[in-house]
Amino acid sequence: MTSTRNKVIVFIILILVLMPFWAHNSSDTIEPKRITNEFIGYYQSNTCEISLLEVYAKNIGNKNNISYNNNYYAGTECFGKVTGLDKVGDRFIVSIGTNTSLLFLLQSITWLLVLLLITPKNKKNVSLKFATFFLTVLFTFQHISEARFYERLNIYYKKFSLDIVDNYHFLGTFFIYLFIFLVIDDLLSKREEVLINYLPFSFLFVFTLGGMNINFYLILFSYLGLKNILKSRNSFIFNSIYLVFSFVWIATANREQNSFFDTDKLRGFINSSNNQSSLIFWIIVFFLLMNGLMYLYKTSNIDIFKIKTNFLVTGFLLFVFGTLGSTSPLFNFFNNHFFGQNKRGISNLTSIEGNTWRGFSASAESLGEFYGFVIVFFVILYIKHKIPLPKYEKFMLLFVIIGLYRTNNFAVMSSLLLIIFIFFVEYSLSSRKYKTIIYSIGLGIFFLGAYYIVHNLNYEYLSTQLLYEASLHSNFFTYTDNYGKTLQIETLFNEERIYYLINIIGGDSISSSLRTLSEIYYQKFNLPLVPNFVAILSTISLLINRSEMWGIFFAKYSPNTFEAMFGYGPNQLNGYLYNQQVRLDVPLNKITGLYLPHSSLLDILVFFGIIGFLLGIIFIINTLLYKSENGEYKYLLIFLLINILKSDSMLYINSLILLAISFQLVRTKKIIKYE
Amino acid sequence: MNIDPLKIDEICGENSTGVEYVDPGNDPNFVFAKDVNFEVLPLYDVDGSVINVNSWFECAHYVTGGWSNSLIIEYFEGDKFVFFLALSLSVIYSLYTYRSKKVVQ
Repeated sequence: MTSTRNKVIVFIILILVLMPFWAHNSSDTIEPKRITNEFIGYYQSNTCEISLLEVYAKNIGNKNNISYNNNYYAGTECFGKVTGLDKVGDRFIVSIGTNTSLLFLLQSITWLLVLLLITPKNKKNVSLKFATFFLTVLFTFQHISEARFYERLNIYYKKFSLDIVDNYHFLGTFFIYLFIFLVIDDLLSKREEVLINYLPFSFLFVFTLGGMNINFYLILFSYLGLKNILKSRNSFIFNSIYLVFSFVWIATANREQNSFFDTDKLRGFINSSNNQSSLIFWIIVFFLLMNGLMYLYKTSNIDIFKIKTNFLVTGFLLFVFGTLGSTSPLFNFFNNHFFGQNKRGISNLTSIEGNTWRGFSASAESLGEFYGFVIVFFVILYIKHKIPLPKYEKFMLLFVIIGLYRTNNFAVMSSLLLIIFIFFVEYSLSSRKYKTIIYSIGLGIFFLGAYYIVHNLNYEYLSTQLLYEASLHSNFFTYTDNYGKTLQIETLFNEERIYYLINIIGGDSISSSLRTLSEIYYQKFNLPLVPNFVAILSTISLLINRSEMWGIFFAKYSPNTFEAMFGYGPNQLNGYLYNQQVRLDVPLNKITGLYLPHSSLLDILVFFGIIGFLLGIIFIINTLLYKSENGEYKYLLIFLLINILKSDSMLYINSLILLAISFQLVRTKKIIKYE
Repeated sequence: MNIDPLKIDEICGENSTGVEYVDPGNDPNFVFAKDVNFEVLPLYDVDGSVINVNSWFECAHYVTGGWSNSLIIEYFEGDKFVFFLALSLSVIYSLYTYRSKKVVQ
């Protein structure tokens, strides 16, 4: 019965995904042509007539470099059809109309059908009924608060006014959200106990709505979050603290600079606009997201077999679809459309500059962490719970390992080996004596290595490298070019006149964080044997190859006192990206690139400030030391925490969900089903 | 440029001159000869600009370039379409859930 139902759902999904890109007027005389230089004009003059699949079928075997891009701005009459053809270099770029409003509806229906594939398990069905109306209004409000984002990507976008009756764009958006929440209310309340077992798929089904700055998981978790608040399952401490933070964010928010962030690969989980209303929107949505995760923590029943299989299937499919998308432009297009990627998958099989292959994912780092997480998870289940691997799972695990290798994520690989080794020692060796010997040797090697590095690289160099990098990217010596700036900074660093450079020459033109770092580095009091904080940070940044990126971070990060203490607010990067004027010392072709902090800890610092950062640390320590119910999964959590130290993974909602699963596994008091 | 004989016939009428239409290209010195037997016909482009054509050949040329004898521009009101689709889906789904709950009760 379930199998037949699922087959019908899959069939409907296929129709919904493919049909809009096949539908065309077969009675007209406008035929698709082979894509060559000769027919560029043909495709430019015959717009909205030829469907994507028609063009693709006509160009099978065409050796030209062709890619299919979305044109979100086009009207609904052009949906699924060619809206233009351009040649950039040797690449032919075919624009396919995917109107944002219609795409929103189609993708939402498709993904709701995907959720319908989860077999319902809940005994009682608690519905939110009319409270969903609030969520509908909230999410529609984003189209007003982030007008600058949406008006670029939808021909139907009309500025909000009191004359709402004529504004079909807003009315349409409102009713799409209403429809989504009506279905979610019915669908999710029957599945919330088992939902966690399917969350590994969040790495495959990224669920970022095309042409929109919203992720479908935010919609789902907002619903659960509202349920958590309304059904008195709320966490009083968290909500009270968040309320204080929210007050500070709204009351002290500095929104003088009218900056706009195009969201890039963070689309769906970041604020694009630097204004008060969008700040309020993201404050509420993040609050609901956190409550949603708490609700899931309280209601979920983990089925270890199911979650294990789903992790493996996801890892395997990520590799398969990543490879397909890399080799076929059509798959590349449909991967983006069906799975809701926030950034197009990589379009060739070779690595970027011999470095990483991110395949399906927007970030090679977060993908590597996912693969590593799956491997650690399997090791834990195999060693601690003696859960064997069937043959097909071994086969899929092989692809996960290949996937990890291709991401070339050294940090993940080395931490993976370390964590597996420690776990093996802890759970396979019973003798305390052997364990002590092994750990002593390990610590000995660590300290010897540290001594070797400090001895060879020189303490002065190690401790000031971060300040040096930050200075290189700051707005010093504006009368000269970057080369001249570098020479002058180098001279002053060699003369150990760093304080003079940063505080006297730099003065107010450099970031407040860089000034603070230099003040800490040159603090008047000195605790014997305790290394300077900046020196430690600088050494760590060098050892994990982050000195340049963190240098850029400190050059850009210039909060005032309130922003330093409480942050800019959740998902607010505008202040960090645009408030401080910098002069990046990078090659010209990279100067306009997106420079994220390259550490989730720094991301947290930007969003929630020093107080939020410290509260987060307290929560982690509390979890690891006092709230751990299932000790073996602490290794998973530690593995992730080590890796997010040098990656921006927390800016991606699926990585945040992965972290939430780890916390859940460690903290849950419910019996985890192992059979 | 895509020549659509059916569309040309539909807008410009039958070709009584016997001269077949060929694209004159981008020759700036090309002049369309006036056909006294051809009734002057106004054509419009998508922006609403108007031009009077004086021969079947000239008419065919402008029609091929996207001009039309009708000012009624085919404009599909996609925002209304999406709105009514979403509204219908919401109403149908609400009625469906309401009915299913009644059946269960």
